[in-house]
Amino acid sequence: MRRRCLILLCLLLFGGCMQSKNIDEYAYVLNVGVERGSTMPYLVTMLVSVPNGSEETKVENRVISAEARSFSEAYETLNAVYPSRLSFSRTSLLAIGEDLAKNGEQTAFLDFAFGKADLWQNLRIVVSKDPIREVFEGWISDGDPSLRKIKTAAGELMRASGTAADTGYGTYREAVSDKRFDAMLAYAGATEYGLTEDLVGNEAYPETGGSLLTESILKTSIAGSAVFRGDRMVGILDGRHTMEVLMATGAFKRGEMRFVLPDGQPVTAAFYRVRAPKRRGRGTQASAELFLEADLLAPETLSMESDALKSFLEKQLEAELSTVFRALQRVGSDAMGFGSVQAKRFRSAEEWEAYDWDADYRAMTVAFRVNVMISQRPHDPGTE
Amino acid sequence: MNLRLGAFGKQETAATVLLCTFFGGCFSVDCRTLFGQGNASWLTEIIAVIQALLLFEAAVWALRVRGGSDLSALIGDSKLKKALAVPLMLALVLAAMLPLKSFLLTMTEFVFAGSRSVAACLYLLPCLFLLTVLGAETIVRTARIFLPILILSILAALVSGIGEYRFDRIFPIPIGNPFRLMSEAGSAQLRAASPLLALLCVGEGTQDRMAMRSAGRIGTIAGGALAAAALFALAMMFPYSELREMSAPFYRMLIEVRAENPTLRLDRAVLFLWLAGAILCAAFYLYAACLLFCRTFGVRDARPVALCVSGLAVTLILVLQYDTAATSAVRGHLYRDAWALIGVPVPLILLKKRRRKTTCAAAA
Amino acid sequence: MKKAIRNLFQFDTPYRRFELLETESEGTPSFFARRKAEKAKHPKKSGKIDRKLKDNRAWLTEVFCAAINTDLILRAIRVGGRTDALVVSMNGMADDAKIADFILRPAFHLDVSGIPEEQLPSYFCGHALSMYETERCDEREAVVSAILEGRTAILFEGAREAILCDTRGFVSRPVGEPQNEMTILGPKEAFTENIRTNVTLLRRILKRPDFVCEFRDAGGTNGTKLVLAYLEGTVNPALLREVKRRLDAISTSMRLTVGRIEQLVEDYTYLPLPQMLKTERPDRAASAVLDGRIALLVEGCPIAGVLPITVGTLLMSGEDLDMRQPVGTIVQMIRMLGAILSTYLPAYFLALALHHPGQLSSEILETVIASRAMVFLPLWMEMIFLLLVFQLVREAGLRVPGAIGHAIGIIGGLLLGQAAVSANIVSTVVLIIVALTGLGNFAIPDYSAQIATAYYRIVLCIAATLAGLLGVTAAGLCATAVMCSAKSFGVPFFTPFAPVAKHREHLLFRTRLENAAGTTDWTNPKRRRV
Repeated sequence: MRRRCLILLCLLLFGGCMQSKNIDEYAYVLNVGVERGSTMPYLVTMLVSVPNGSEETKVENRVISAEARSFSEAYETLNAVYPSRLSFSRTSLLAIGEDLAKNGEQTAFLDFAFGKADLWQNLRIVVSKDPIREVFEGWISDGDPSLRKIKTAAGELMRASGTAADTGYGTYREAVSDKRFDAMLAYAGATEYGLTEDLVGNEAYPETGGSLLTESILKTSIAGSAVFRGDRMVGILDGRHTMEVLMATGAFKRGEMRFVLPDGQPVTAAFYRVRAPKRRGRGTQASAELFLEADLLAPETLSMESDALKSFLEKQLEAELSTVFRALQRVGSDAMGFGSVQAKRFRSAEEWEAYDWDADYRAMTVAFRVNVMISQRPHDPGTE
Repeated sequence: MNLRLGAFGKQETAATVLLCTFFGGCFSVDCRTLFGQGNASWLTEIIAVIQALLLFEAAVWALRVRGGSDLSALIGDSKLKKALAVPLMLALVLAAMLPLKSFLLTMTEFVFAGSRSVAACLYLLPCLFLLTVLGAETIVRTARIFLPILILSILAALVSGIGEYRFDRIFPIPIGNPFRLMSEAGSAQLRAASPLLALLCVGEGTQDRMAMRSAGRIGTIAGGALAAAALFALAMMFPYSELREMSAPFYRMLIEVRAENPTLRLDRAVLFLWLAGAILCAAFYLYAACLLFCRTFGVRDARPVALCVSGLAVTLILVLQYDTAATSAVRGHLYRDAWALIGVPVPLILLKKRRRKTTCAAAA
Repeated sequence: MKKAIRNLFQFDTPYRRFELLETESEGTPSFFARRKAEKAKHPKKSGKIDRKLKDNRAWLTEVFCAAINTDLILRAIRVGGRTDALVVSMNGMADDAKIADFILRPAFHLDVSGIPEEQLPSYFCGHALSMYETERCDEREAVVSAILEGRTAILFEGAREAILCDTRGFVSRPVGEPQNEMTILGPKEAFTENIRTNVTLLRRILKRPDFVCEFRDAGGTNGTKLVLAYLEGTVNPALLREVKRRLDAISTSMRLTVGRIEQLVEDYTYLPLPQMLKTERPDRAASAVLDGRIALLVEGCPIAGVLPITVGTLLMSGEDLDMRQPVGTIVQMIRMLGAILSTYLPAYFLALALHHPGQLSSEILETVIASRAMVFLPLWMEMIFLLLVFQLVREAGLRVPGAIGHAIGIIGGLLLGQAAVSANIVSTVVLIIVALTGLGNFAIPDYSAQIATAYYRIVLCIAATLAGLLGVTAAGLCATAVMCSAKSFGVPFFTPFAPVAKHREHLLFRTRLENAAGTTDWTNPKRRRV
């Protein structure tokens, strides 16, 4: 009897055999992009990497694309034409075409993609200014980057420069589903670009550029941010303004800014977040207090005393933050997340959902206060 | 008699109750119901655990007064009370089924995307059947062995998400209406009281009544605290508006962490470790249901009943996995109203029938 | 006529090949080749010794098959020139010089005049035998076992008693070093095949009056002796009773060793883990006895069995407590890691590679794929093939003498592995994983547990191939549950962790060694305290 039961159990287990493939039978999709197609609603582009085991080039990278009505259709098409089976287990970046983002057409696509495909729920999202194929080709054009390098390049760039919003799908989804804050996604392009359409004004700051693997003609750059209202893209912020919004939300880690002192002398400061900003608000009144540490480049050459310099930097940042806030307010985007401050005073979900936050936001005034501590440590260029 | 109860100590019993309370609190939930009106799940979990403990204390007191060691002693020979045992058995089967259903959904959605739920279920059934047949002693000992590693994995999961927590996500906290909080906690009794109900069923296997009571208290309080902490962490990870649309929030919590280049990602290992914990809890419930059935209806061998209840639990999981109008309705009732399966029969069983004075006088 | 014709055309009768037919002696077997065991007809061993020497001689001749068994020496003498006697011993088992000097010579010179025949054995013992250990008995069975042990029996005409003299003097191996349980800090003595020597080895460690070595027949027809060694007053009497009950139930014609006795008395036949610790180290057996456990020594077996045991016992070596706490903790953690790696690593890798590639980091993924570039076997087949090859190399290394065994290990490990990689049969990553698994396996101190781990490893690998981590979880949970339900002589396998008990076995973190009176309490001994 025991033996029969054992055989029966074994049969049951064999019956429940799951589908599996050897790891070398897969091609790994590292980046996925979606933009408007010419004949079909979507053009899906994938940066596919196949580890090939050769000593020189450990991976073979290709960019493939297909037009389709949905994500699954595009996947099936690409899967059929590609010799290996496509796996999303290592996908780390998703690019949305600017044309789709401006009309909010990406949301349905994304919901379906994340619902059905085995996509990592918090992968990084960028908005692409140029055709996504070019952006992805620029990514892999030189140096035969490894799987890891391709996966981490964008994140490392964003962290080192601080000029782009490193936003994952989870945060984007949260922004779309709730009114506490609006999304701000990194902005990518196939060439080094100046952000002439900046929401705040045409201030071409030198730190706006940040490009990946720039030794070839195709230069993929990530700098600045696309600002959303709900699921629609409503504008662009350059690198410096992105940094300031991140400072206000508390997501800022490190970044460099250049200022011009009253006597015309330029000064470069690397800012670090000391602690999370204190934000308060009720109705149309709000305040935000920021705590930063500034690391100055060659402070001994500066004409200003330390205290005066501190005060100068605080005033500059406060002014710039107010300007950026007003620009965001103009387009109705709460990228600084003052909605989450408002939510604290509600005692039920119904009350919060019934609250007309949009109207209050339009009339809101925010008092920014910045505390800068001048660092005594030697300047850290942020590179290894 | 082949009831396979065995004998077990306080630590093992407390470990099992702890795991059952934790997995019930975190994985037996319907996100749409729980987070539909905001997120106070961590608060309701605490209240639900307190309510369950009060019910348990009442049952232990009744056992002390009437001199029994487990629930079947309270049921006795009364036909009405025997009938009341049936909803309790059903409650235990449902309590066993709900976390597994949640794990199955997670697996088919995130892990084995192309596979059918029947295939995954075929791996659960032998485990459930084997554990239920091996009996309470084996289940609680296995739970004791798994407890440290499970607690470690839970704490690691909660700590690893610290970078992603945002305190403002827990707002608005729906504490404006205390009555609603209490009623929500009441309707969570299927998951909060089931571990203690199962413990009452297998009470004879513990060293004595006091050991059972102390193990029940320790396990429930520790498990409830852990579940509340996990739910609080969840509230800081996702806003309620997202949570109510989610199918597997705890797994989502694991994979939401932005580890850029970990040498080894461990989210699936942790998920399957938790699955092992959920299977153990399910087996404990199923064995308790099986024992209650055997004791109430005088069945002398637990094994055929174990096979039946395991099969029933797996069938229910599979049936409720399908999305039809009927199954949706059943699911809705299951999460909202199934507390009645415990909340109504247990007080009735605890009530003692008073001997009528007139009858006594007539007899005299 | 036919025969004549055949002989005419044939040079010789063809050789008829020998074939042992199943029906030869015990009847036709059933469909499943089972047949009822029939009791072999043996001459009667039991009963009382006869008065007549002639009858006793006939009985001994029959019992020992003396007609064909030349080992039995039946020496007829006349004591003091008056009474006939028979000196019986087993050639090679008894010391000839002792018999000649201390039995035969005094016998010839003893004056037995006036001594009634009935009293002759007692008179002989008191006045002739200058030997330390003598015994008088009237049971035939005792006489037979004594002769088999190497003692000499003296039977007298007209007496119902025989004298048994200790003349044992057979050749045995001297006490040597342990071959399989090497230690650095521990003692270097090992048990031998001589049960007396083994008892002495234990007694030298346990110089306590309450240390009891109970000699018993192992059961069955071959008269093997065994010893139950325990501390009277410490060991749990219920445990002792149960062990004796199970030993009493043994009735076999097999040669008995500790391993065979374990299988005959264990509860869980299909559990791969051993239910009795088998050690060749007297110090380890003595430690167990001090803990309130029972050691089992079997004649002719250089291994002692220790019972009951737990998982902790299998994962501890004899010298763990000899090491200082910090070092001991590290060693134990490494050993635990080794045990876990050897059980789960191949299955975990298979599960990740076949079902969850997203869980492997990019670097590992690239390395694995690069190493599998030309390998034609599927990954799961490659893994199982290599695991089997590992077992093969290990078995081959064990069964051949020392130096060649080492050579086989090296050849198997290096050359075969290298050749397999060059021939694209296996990949380097899988080879590394199997090597790690093997190293982890050797970190487990107990040989039987090592083999059991191999069994779990293969089962887990199959489960991982079928359903990835779900399969590993299901199989691992079932295996753990079965181990949790198992008991070694009534003691749950995962004691002292589930159920919880006070103990000295620290699987992961060793605590400070303290003065401890009493024993561990998981066998519920009489003197309990850690």
